Amino acid sequence: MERMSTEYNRLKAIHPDSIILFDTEKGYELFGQDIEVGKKILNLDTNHFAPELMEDYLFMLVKSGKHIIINDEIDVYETKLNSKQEAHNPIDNTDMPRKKKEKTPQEELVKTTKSAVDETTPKEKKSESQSATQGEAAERKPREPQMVTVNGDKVTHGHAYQSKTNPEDWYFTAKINGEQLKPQKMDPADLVAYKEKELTVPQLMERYYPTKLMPRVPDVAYQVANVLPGPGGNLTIDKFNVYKETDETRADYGKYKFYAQVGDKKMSTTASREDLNAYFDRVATPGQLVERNFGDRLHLQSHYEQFRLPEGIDPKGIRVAKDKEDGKWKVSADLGEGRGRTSRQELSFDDGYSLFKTKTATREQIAAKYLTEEISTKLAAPLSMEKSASMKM
Amino acid sequence: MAKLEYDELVQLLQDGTIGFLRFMLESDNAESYLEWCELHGIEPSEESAEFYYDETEIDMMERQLIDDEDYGIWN
Repeated sequence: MERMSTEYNRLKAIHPDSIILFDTEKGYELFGQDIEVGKKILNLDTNHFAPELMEDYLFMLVKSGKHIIINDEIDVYETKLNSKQEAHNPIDNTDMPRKKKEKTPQEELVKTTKSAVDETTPKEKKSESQSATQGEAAERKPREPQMVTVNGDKVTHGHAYQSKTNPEDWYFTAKINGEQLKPQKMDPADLVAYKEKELTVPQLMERYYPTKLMPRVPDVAYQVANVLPGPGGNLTIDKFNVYKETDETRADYGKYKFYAQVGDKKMSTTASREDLNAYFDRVATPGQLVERNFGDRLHLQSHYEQFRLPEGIDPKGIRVAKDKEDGKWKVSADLGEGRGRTSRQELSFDDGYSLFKTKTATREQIAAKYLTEEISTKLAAPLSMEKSASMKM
Repeated sequence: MAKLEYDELVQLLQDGTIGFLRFMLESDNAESYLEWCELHGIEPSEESAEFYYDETEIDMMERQLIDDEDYGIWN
């Protein structure tokens, strides 16, 4: 129990939003505040459940937007820490990927669904063949991991190097489980800090490859159609993928975009680098990516819940009204005594629809979506002399 | 058909003789790419191959620099 508590606290400190499942003799066990989540989402009466329920429960947790970490080798991990032999295992050792401190659900599922005869994954096979072709020299030069990710992936060869074509540019790169990561251009300040040993490889990994370090979502999230609660009932995501815009006449030509088909709605939008990485590394479910990128078009309540007005703004001062001059719906907010009103920002069709028709957005959320930046700037600025004087009078 | 060398593949891709899907399927990363597609619940396609290529491919010159352990800063 003490070990579980220590491990729980350690993992929660790194991944506060993840649910941690401990593989124990009782089955899968929840700990701490996760027990409440189990009661709420899985309808559990106790703090554990049988292994055969794992797949269904994983699906339920993923559907509810939770990240999951499975920890099944506390004892092994603690033994490893004390084992000199284990600590000096070469990174290219082909059985390394199986010795994981923390397993992700998808790894667990892959293990249960793949042939028992051949448990070696294609990546492992590839590593084997690559190691073989690289000869014995590589085997003689074992390299300890610089860090182990929450998914159990081993990071090695993390280092900075200077571009030969553009000597002013420096790049950071590393290998994960022996696979070379695409180099990322470094911020000059990071380079200086790294040279001075003020930044470590794990810190640079966090900065340049954040999604490689996040817990991956279970396989099921990408194998079955995701469902989102919509304004008129559940919405099924029938298709979700990424593509590059090829229409040269468009402003977003050459950019990567997400495509989603939800019921009879077919939508696409330019994808952020952060979301593209999340998709590539499977650290967000298609449902979460649809929610983030198409939430307004689908009028999802969950989309609008992310918008909150800064402290100190009275909701009564928010005005959503049709502009007499151009007939468009606009939102503005009163910033309180001495600060006046914000500018009036035009609402998109979808946001207006969510506010007036489906009622999945509130006036406060709409104001927060359009005005937060302006409100924050104005609240941070000192009151003008004229306004201060008028207040005193 | 004989397996094409990486340089030849790059040349054919740049010429437009082959697309990203053919490139990925002929390259040493074919298995990784196919596994990635399977895990993402998608069929291999020109679009997904291009995305995978952009996320992972490192040109040969760059690779030589990266592999040179006497070059760069190793803390």
